[in-house]
Amino acid sequence: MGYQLDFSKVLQGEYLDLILQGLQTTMILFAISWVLGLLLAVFLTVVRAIEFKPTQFLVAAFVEYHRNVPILIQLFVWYFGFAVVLPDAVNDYLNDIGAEIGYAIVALALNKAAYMSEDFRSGLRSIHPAQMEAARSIGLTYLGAMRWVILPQAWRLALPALLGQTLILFKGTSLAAGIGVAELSYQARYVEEQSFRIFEAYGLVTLIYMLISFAIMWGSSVLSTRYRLRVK
Amino acid sequence: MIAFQNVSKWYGALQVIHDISATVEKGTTIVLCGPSGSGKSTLVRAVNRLEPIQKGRITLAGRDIHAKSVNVNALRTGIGFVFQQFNLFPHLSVIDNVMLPLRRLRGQSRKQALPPAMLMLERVGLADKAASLPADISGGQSQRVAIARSLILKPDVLILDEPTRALDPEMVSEVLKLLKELSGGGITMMCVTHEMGFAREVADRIWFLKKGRLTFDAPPDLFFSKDTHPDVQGFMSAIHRHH
Repeated sequence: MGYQLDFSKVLQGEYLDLILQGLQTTMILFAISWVLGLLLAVFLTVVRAIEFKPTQFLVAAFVEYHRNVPILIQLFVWYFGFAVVLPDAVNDYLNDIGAEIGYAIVALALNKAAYMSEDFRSGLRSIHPAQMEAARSIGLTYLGAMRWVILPQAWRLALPALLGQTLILFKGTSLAAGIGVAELSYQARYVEEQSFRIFEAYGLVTLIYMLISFAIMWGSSVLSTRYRLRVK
Repeated sequence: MIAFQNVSKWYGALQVIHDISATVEKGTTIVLCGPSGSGKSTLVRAVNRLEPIQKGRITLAGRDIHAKSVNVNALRTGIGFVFQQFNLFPHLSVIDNVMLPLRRLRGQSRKQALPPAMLMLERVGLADKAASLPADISGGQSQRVAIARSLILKPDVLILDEPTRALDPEMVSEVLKLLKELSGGGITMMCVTHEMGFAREVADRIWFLKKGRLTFDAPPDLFFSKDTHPDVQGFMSAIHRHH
């Protein structure tokens, strides 16, 4: 039996709506996880920069967990594991307001924070210590030197890696389907099951993922060039 | 202006400065020379507290600079410091490097800081490089920008730690020419260098250090005469063998 390609079914009506709703959820997941991940990464970087062994160890442990365990497992740990320790009433409430996406955001943000904090850290470490000394010799305080001399270089040095993480996060949002978040991948599977237009459903979301990934890559390349730090 | 009183410093058990006492008169230029590891850099770095000292006192205009009551950041705004490796800030243009102390320490706006910074760049002959990034200018130009940055707050003292050591030979002279112009302009200068021609021409006194001790402190006439210290003679012939 032959399979007749027919994109019209997934490009209109209820199925297209489902796909677009999925896209919206994907973008919400992506944007919120990115912002939270970045903020937490900055915090982790600062904590790790402070010479205090116990907190440095905690940050290192946090980073190692998130870098060495598959993201899907991290999602399961939050969605299935964490939920068990909560009282039933809290779980009922969370499920009412949409617990899946909340847990997905938490898991993805924590995961990205681990990677991004390492990127910041390596950016900081690649700045020659003489820069701090020069800044202090002018009369800047330690914080002033960080604010005006060290951090403006550190984020530029970390930028290409951070942009790479951004793309990885965008694609990683699809794993949230594993805990039932109705994002783009989840909707594609649902539409495919309902419509039997298997190739068309996955073909359409593949195209959507590619377009957004290309846009992120293009933006990354523009930003990386614009803010490249050239050191002799 | 600057007085060293029985200054000693150790790195752990290793003593790198041995009981140095000397004075730098206001407005004069001191050149410090001596073999590497003799403590020249350490001594000048101690003047703006980049290095702590363990014994003795360093006073600037009568104030003990290592005293706990001294605000180290305020102290440093009165002392320009120029490094061997320039240490320009690579994310800032030349003019932004020079303006940084005015903007971030004096709280001036860009508009306020621009005219004096441009004037300073003209003084070091680099007004045309104002918009360049440090990566796009030569070593000699970088060092002149670093000097402009160190002078922008009008310090009373300028310290230079081997300012021409990292430069290609053809760029040494442009930096030395600038330092010569600055010297005698009222600023008190301490310059660590092996450029003996510069020392002879510009220094009011030359300090010779060896193994952490100030073994000879003399005006150039005496320093370069036959009656100089035996250590200096040995050092000079070693230098000449190199050149």
